[in-house]
Amino acid sequence: MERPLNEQIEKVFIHREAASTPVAQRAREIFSPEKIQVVDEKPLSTRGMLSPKDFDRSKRWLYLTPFKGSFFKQCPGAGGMVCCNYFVLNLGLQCNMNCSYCYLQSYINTPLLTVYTNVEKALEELDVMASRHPDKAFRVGTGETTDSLSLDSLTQYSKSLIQFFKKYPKWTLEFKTKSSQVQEFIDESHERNVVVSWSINCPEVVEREEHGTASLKLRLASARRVLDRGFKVAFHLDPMIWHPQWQAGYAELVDLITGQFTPSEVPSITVGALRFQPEQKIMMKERFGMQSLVNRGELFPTREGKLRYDQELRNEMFNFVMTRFRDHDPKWRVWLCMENSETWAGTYQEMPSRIPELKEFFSPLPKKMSDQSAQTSIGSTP
Amino acid sequence: MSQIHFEPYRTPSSLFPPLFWRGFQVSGFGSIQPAQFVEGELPDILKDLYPELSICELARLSRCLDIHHLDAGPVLAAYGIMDREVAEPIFNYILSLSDDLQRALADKQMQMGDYRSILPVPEIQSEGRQLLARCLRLRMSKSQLVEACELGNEVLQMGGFEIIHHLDRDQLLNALREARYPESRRKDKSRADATKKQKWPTRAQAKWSRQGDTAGLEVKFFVSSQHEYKKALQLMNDIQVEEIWNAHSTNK
Repeated sequence: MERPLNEQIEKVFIHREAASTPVAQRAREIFSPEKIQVVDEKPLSTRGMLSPKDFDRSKRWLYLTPFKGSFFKQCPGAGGMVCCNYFVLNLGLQCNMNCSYCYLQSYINTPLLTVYTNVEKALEELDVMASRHPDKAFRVGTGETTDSLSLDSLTQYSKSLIQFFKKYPKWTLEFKTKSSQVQEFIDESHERNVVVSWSINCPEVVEREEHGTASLKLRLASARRVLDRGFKVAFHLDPMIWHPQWQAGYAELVDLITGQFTPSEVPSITVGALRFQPEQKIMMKERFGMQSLVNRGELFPTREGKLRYDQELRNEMFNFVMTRFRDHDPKWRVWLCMENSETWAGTYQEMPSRIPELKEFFSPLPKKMSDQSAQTSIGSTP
Repeated sequence: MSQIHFEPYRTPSSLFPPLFWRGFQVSGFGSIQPAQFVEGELPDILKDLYPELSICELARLSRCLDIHHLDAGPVLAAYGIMDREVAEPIFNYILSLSDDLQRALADKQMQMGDYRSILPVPEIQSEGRQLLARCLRLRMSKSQLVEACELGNEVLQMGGFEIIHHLDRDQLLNALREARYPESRRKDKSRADATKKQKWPTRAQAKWSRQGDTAGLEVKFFVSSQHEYKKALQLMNDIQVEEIWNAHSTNK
């Protein structure tokens, strides 16, 4: 269940350089003064992986700081995976929600829930990209290293980004979230180039594994609200998690979606199955124990190094969901996310680059653009 | 005089004099050589005396320093252990093991990551210790030991597993895998059985095999002539592959 920010956050560190930013000012309105401390440098540092205790704390200690590096980088679709060309804009690091399977557990080693306060610099970078590639229709997502909207009452970045994207109607802005926080931008005018995408799961998985997130019901209600205001909506049914009643659970989820939305309202639904880096297993076991459906899963090492369910089981799960959608209406379009070519072939009998609706997303970027984004992906915080 | 005596496995030569640092004897326990006094930082002195220590020795050293109210942090850091929060439950577990088990683990050159994988949660620590002892008695390799203990601890937490003492090394590992991955193992076993039931050509070897997240049929055959080759292919065509793949659904 989502809790108010002032209940979740125990301490707020504001870097002196960020002290007069709008985000810091709002932090002073949201949090009591005894929680707030202005600092000259990052208050905690770590070497190597965080301990489970440190990781838990990193969700409760907030750090507002300008980002010193380059904001813009390309989607990290891992080697061997069939993935799309997509640009990631990291406006923070760590998430205030607490999903048992979250890949941030093996991905970040920041001891603090970090929010970058200089969004205007990110927008400047986007302007530069636009001037260099005026014909390219960029897709930009903000939900890679933090939830796009769960801190939006503090950052209000959704509003700034939507306003900015009005300049570039051909571009697409994508928020990815498990929250119901749409109030900050719901009244913003836009160019119909904003996709608000919800990670969704069956009620049992939301309840047992996605701690601190909005309920499925609230997520779907928020999706309906933004749709009614002309924003686009996407759903990511990811990660599908095997449990004894998985078929009933995912059937219920599909029925809820198809009962509340039409295929034309949600033109893209992606599906993925549980996967994580082996080193994440220890952290997950220590933090969530063996009662977690994620930790109880039967996962095997794959060629690309991650742990996944048996490929045949994955195909069975994907096919189950796709069939259920199509039984409701053949117009539903459901795609696989972060899957290998065997699974694509097993599910669609076709690779994504040969599927007309997906061809555009999987066409390689111009080489220079890829190189440039790779070079500018490293940054630091003070 | 107090001693920082953590029973290291490799001690300096008996001719080495007893060294004293700020009132603590740090080496030469039982030596009859005249004592010498050393200055400097304790981590540097210990690193000079014991360039390498196993995690078991470090657990004992850490406890020894705690008893004397000396900060173990810098000493552990000198041996590459930066995070005491992660190390502490591992040290406690190691110190709860007999000297023999500690020695056997040290001999396997277990690293912190290995211990983190095999560390049982407090609720199953006694059973976890029994399993570890059993695996060590069965002379498992380090990777087998880590796999067995990791699987065993998970199974114990998921609802129980009885260590059957008459099992040999491979049987125990198999039993643990079966208990931890019941659905996949059941499916693989049905198909393996169905594979065996097929009439494979002479000199052909067929088995159902798992390779990570995929499982499938592995067929190997040897032929010494074109005629044999064609005959083998003909016989292969008669194999009822659907019986193999459908075996799981029919055996449910």
